[in-house]
Amino acid sequence: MANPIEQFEIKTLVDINLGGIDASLTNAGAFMVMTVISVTMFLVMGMNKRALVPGRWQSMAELSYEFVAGLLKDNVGAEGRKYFPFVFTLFMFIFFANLLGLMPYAFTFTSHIIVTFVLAMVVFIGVTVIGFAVHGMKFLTFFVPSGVPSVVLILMVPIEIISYLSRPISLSVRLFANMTAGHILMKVFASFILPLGILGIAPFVVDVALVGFELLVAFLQAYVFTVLTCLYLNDAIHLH
Amino acid sequence: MPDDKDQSSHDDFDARLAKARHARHGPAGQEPVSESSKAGVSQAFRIGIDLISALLVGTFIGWFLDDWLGTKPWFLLIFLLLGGAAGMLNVYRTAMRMVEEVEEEIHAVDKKAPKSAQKEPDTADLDPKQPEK
Repeated sequence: MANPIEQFEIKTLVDINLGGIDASLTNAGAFMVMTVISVTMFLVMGMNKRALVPGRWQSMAELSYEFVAGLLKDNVGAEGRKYFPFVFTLFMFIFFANLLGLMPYAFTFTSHIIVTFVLAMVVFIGVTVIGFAVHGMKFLTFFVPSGVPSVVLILMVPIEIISYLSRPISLSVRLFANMTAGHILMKVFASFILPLGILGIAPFVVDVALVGFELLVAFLQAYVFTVLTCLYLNDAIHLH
Repeated sequence: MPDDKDQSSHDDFDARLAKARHARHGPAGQEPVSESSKAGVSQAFRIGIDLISALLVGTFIGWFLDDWLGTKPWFLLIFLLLGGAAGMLNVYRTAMRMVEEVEEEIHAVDKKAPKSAQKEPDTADLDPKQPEK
């Protein structure tokens, strides 16, 4: 029976050594490059015609733009417009990575905690820097809940700080766990199909349904990541 | 003649549109509920991770402080509790955000409802016209 975890194995495709640092192109790196290329192709070639009445492809490209712009406007407001390029890139990158990972024989790099954790840390550090840039030292009042007696504050401030520090962890674990669990589940059901013979039709049907479900999860997790980024941005810009 | 044909096909379209609208607006209140119950599992998952991640951060800070200052169990104990409390705070905030989202959804449905009620007599008018012609 195929090992359901084997699909997450990192394999070196091209050996690259930069002054003692192992910078080899792995399957994860290759799929990141492919993700960037496919997002760029999707948007650039979609908007190539710049038709007033968009065709199907152009309307998909416009739809994804408007979707993220709407999220940013609803959750952050007009001040969030500045950060649109970053948030849009984040959404498209994660969404396309999840989708590409669903292709047969593909590698899902969002199923690696280090990838999602770095993405979450970029958001976390970026948002913290923005908070300090907008409010200066006043940003620290974010950790002091208003209307609380000062005795309780001794307890509340550490709790707020821990809650703030837990953001990148919950953000990264959520994406990682969803992608990993989905892919393992699909693999486990797939490995039952052939050994069961004619009865294998049952796990096969389940797997077909799971592919549809995973498509939903691929979008939903990219969406959740983006929404939470917007909410954190909102906290940093408006302080609650 | 072609004009007449055009007219009839137009009427046909109107009838189909009216039917489609009826089909859509009939079970108006139920649609969003079934959608949100589908997302229930992922919401539960979201809350669970919110709880655990803060606990992990608290435990890690306590463990690090103990290791650094050599006060073996004390900071770990304190920050374990603080981490748990922070997890609860996370859960509370996420839950309140979810409640807000559901309330917004209900508001959106309420706002849509009078509109569809206004349109319904319109479509009802169209329906009896159809057999006459």
